Amino acid sequence: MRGITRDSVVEMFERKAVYVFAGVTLIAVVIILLMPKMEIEFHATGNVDIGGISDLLRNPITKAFSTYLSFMVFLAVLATAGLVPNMLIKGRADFYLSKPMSRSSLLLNKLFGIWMVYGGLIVFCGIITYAVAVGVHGFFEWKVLYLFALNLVSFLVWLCITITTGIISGSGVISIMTAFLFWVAQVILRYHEQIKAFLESKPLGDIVDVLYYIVPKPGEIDGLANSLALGKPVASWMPLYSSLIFSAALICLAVVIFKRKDY
Amino acid sequence: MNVVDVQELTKVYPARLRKRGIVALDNVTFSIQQGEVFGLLGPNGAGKTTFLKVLLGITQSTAGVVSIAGFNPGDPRSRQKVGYLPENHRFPGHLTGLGLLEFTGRLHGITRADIDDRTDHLLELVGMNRWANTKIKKYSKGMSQRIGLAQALMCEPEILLLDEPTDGVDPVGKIEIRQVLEKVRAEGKSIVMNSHLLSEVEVIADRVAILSKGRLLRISTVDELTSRKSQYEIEADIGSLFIEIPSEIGKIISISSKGLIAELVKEENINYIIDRLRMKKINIKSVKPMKVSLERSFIETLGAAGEG
Repeated sequence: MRGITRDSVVEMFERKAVYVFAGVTLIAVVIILLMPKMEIEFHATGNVDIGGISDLLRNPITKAFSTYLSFMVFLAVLATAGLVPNMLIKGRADFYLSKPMSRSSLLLNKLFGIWMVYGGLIVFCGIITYAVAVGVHGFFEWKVLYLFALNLVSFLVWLCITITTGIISGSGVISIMTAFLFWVAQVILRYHEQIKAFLESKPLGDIVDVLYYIVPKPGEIDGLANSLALGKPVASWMPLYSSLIFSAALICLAVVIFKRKDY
Repeated sequence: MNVVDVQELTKVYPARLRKRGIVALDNVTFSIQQGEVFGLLGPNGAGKTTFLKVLLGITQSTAGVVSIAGFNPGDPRSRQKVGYLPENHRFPGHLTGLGLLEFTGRLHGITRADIDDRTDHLLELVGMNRWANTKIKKYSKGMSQRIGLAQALMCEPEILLLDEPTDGVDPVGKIEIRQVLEKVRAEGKSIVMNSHLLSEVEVIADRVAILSKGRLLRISTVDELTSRKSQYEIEADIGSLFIEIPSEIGKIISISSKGLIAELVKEENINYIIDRLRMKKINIKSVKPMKVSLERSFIETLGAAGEG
């Protein structure tokens, strides 16, 4: 990675993003510590569904933890949206581009550097928060690992969007705005069946369908992660692989544009 | 051996609101040899920075053939042994001076041990050891230039490309940077430098190219550019003697008891004047071609091209 990951770590501390993550984690830990301890007492006799009762405890903790991780991903998207445009500002791009690395290698190293460093930060904060929750409520669920894994995938999808927009526009603000537009689009397109019914036009309905399958679906990936963490069956893996295909296509586009651009 | 070869290089930047783009380089052809210190001169917008950026693949040529260190600029191997100090650089502000050198070393694929060796040496060379652990964003312009030069030298370059290397540096710093460049030259490395400070280029460069509006106006050695071969200054004890020369030989521009300045029709006519002086038993102390400053020569070249 030729030092780009290490540079991303130094840059993260310099930009003080790490303190925001630490602050949010601290708040989460304080909330957990202030929460009354959840306990289930068994007084019933006869035929009791133990699994169903333990879900009472498992569901709110897992769901709260999932929300926390999603928020951390949101913070990471905000914190990283400006990194690539910042690398390519006038006077700084010359420094990076005059080194013996191909542009594709530079961009991909930067993408994975940012993903590993900020993803690592999300995981680190998540482990602390979950460990405190386990300590307080005495409840551990290994399936929570799905939440970590899929939130990292979700972060990668958002990174591909912000980095590509950053390469095209050279602006961190536009990258954030584009990420927000994609977020709105995926929320709206989640109701594509209802929209189709409302449109009453087959061609328009088909366009909505195509858009639904094209646009990445980090929101649905979160839902998928929740299902896995709660031990529920997964209805479809399509949101995951369609998002990954979209991200791969986007990053290929970013590489092509980056290779052709003059700085 | 040529380290840089450029043939019919043209670069046109697309202009959004104009039909025709902006021509930054127009059919430029020349070569730079190994061990040569080459100066690129030209007014603002002449295409000097674009030229360096094309060599590094930072900007892509519109037409023409470019080779640096034997490679096409699009090939990352072309930059393996090339150091570059950009104009108006903004090195990553989160790094310290030492951090920048280490990061540069890693980007060049240099081993950890070599990085450690070179950083100490380079920080001392550019006089930045005291500030090695200070963040770059806190550096003055002169300090930034010094650390920029150090990062350009980090890969032990065979070719050093410098864009306004002494910009913002104080007079002492300029001398120190010149000394560094002379050391680099003594190691047989090539230096290509853009500079508005012609006096500086005059001192250090072997050859210069004068660019204007993207066109190559002139390329020659500094000596050729600054000497006036048709004019000679003769230092001699003339005293009150009157000297005259035929118009087909040339004319005396000025004369005093200590010598004269003559403009000759042909260079070899200097012998006629020397013979005349010797016939009159005048003691000749020195004969030297008249020189003008590089700055004057530069202005004249621009003027002759109608761009002064």
